[in-house]
Amino acid sequence: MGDFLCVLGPNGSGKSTFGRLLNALLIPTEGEVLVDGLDTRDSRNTWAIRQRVGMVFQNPDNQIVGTQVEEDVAFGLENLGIPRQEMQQRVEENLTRVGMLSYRQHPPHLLSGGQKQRVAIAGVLAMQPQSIVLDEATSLLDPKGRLEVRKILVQLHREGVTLILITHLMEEALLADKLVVLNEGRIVLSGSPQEVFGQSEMLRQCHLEAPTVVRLTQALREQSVALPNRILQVEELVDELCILKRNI
Amino acid sequence: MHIEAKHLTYVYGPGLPWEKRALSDVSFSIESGEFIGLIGETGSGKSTLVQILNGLLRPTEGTILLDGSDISDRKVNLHRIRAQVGLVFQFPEQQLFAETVSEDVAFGPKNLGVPKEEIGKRVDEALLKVGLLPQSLRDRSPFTLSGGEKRLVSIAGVLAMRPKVLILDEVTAGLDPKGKKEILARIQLLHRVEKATIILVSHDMDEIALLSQRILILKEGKLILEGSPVEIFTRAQDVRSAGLDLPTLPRILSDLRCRGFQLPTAIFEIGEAARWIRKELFRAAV
Repeated sequence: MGDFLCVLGPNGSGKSTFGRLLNALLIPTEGEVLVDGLDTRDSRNTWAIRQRVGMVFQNPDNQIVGTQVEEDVAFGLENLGIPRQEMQQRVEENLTRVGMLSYRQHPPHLLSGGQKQRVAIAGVLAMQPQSIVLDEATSLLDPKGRLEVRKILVQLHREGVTLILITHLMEEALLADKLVVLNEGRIVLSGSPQEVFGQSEMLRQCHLEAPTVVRLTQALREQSVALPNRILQVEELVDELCILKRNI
Repeated sequence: MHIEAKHLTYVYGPGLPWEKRALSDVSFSIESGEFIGLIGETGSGKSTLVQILNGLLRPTEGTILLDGSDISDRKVNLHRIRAQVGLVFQFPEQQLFAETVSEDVAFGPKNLGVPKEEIGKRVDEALLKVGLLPQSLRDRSPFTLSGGEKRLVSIAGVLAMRPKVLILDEVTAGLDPKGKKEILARIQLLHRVEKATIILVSHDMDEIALLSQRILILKEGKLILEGSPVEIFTRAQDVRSAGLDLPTLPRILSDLRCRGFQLPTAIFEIGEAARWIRKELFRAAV
């Protein structure tokens, strides 16, 4: 509960399959997935599981159904038969959470990609799930849109929502507490971002590369510059180097 | 092919309530065989500009000269222009339609009236240029290929028209790191071996920094910066004012320089950056 997990791996490594197994969009051939103790193989649990595990997909245009932003956010609630008054309240509350309340009456197709994904996230949040699976939810967005969505993820993590982020973008993986790297359907690496990004050989085999900051830090450490190996952000590296320079 | 744009302006829906000025007074020139990186925020006019370059849109004002001939002239045969300036749209694999790869790649040259006997040759040549083996792919359905391969087939479809200029709009978007690397390596080869003039439109600053010889930055329809990657990425302030960020490595180095490190500006490789930083730390010790 409340974890922020990031799933990395090349195309075809099983990332999306993993994501879809979590909310009973797919049923495991062998093994079991328990959500809050509910077995996804039992079809009587399907709706209860999907209410607990929300999904946000890659292409915002494929998941928007309403002709107005608030209508779109209400879609899942209508299907659950939530009373109107509560529905309005949940729509408002969750559009506020993603910073899109002032767009409530806008037609979604006029929004930017980042705004559309925020609306999609609000729609999932309105169902009050415990976890959200995001399957490459930022890969089609421009840098500004990516930043918008990442800010929301950091905020949701602080609020205690469990997040499972499937991505190709290493910079994005730095947001998570725990990383899992899949290759050919198996977990090949898992641990904190520091632990996983330290395994450059295994990453290379999976056609992945640690983020630039981590690689520069590693290169400096190899040249016996005394940097700690926990550095993940540009600001940290710059600060550490300035401290070193002062103290030498 | 030499490209010269003079005072290009483009207005969508002139006179309408939603009139939008997408480009205003943009001038630049591109030498034959150059590799240009075109960047700017969403809505900065990049797509409008590339559509003008291959004659899909006519500029509201200004002229565009390809090897000296003005394509904004209404009398110009636009088919010929589009054969010379190949445009690969975003997510080009969505435009694949034919039953076989060879039919799909042949579509462009066929429309240009290339004789039948030559089309087969062009198809094979185009597939080879993007690193795909004609004999194993020719008769496959394009829809059975991987995402990266589909994209390569779509690029081959444009190359089969033998364009002199190749414009690629967000060509690596949505691909995994391996697919990205493969496509970029192919594009680099097209530039080096085939001497193609290339215009790469991208949001990925690392990609732009790595490949471009010269960078053009658009902001709100205006060309605000132009120069080599070194010139551009040492002007961190200007780049940020265009709503863009520096690639990670130049960003770290720029931040370090601001904090008193003496580092050269032309570093785009991690090992080299590490050596310079170490040297600078060591210098401080002496």
